[in-house]
Amino acid sequence: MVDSGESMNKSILTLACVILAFLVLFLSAYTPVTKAQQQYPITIVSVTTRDMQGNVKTEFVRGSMVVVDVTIKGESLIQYYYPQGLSYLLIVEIMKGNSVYYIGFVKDIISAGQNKSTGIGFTIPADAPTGTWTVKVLVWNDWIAIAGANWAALAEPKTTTFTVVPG
Amino acid sequence: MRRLLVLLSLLLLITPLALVSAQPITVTVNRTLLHPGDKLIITVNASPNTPVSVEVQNPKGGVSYADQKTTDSQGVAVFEVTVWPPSNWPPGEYTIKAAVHGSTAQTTIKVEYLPPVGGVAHPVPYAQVVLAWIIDHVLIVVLLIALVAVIVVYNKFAKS
Repeated sequence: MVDSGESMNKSILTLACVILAFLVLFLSAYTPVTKAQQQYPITIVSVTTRDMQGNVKTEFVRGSMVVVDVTIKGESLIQYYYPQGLSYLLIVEIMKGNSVYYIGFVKDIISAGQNKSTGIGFTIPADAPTGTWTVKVLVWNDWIAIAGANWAALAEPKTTTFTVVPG
Repeated sequence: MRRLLVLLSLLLLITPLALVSAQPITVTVNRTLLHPGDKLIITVNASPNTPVSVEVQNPKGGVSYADQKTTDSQGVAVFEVTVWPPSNWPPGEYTIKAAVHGSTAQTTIKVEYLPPVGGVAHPVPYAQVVLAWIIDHVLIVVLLIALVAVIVVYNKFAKS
């Protein structure tokens, strides 16, 4: 009689532990993982627009060239998950309103603590609309068409603007 | 009892893991046939507060649009892009791919160019224009010649 009582207690204790484990896993499935996905392994440090001589500039005439200078930094978590370095796709998109006038990209590898700078040139069309243009920089592990379900964002996107004036 | 407990334990432990791996995603568009200047609205539904991306692949194999956003508390992210300039949107069938980490979805749209209204002016040689005018007005010309002939004949008879 005593044995069956002890056995019952053990069963209840085990069940309680399992339910507790379930709750911990269930809650972690929704909150911490989602937040962890936003701890990106790469940070876009700066996005600046320059002329062909390398001078920082935010006003350009039609027909001139804009050089978008992007600096990114590899965060420390890269060294734990990707000790050989993390390969990334850096996309630079130049838009006027909702119209995309240019998409440029580079593929490279970055290590933890490393800073990398890239300059991408774009010639403003002679008939380009004047006003404020937007530069958006994205960092992914690859194009969706290539990565498929393994696609991942590696950095928080960053934008900057420049102005186009009549030449 | 012990077996039941083991089964229950396994079930309870597997359920949240299955929830983690399942990241459903859907992608829809406001319209499937577009012309230059039209606005394309891409709506992605996924888990709330999750980074999602879209990529619009054009019929030439290039990418006409790419973007990344974080879904709102309802799990929705809306992307808007204008089908312009034409150099970035060649006519044909496009594939729109959307992705979250662990899952992708896709749909297709078509971009069509309409012929310009009023046709196109082509330069024509002057002689061709004159010839075309004569052919077009051959009846008038014949009548004029006939009138001249009648006048000449009348004058001839009147003199005699």
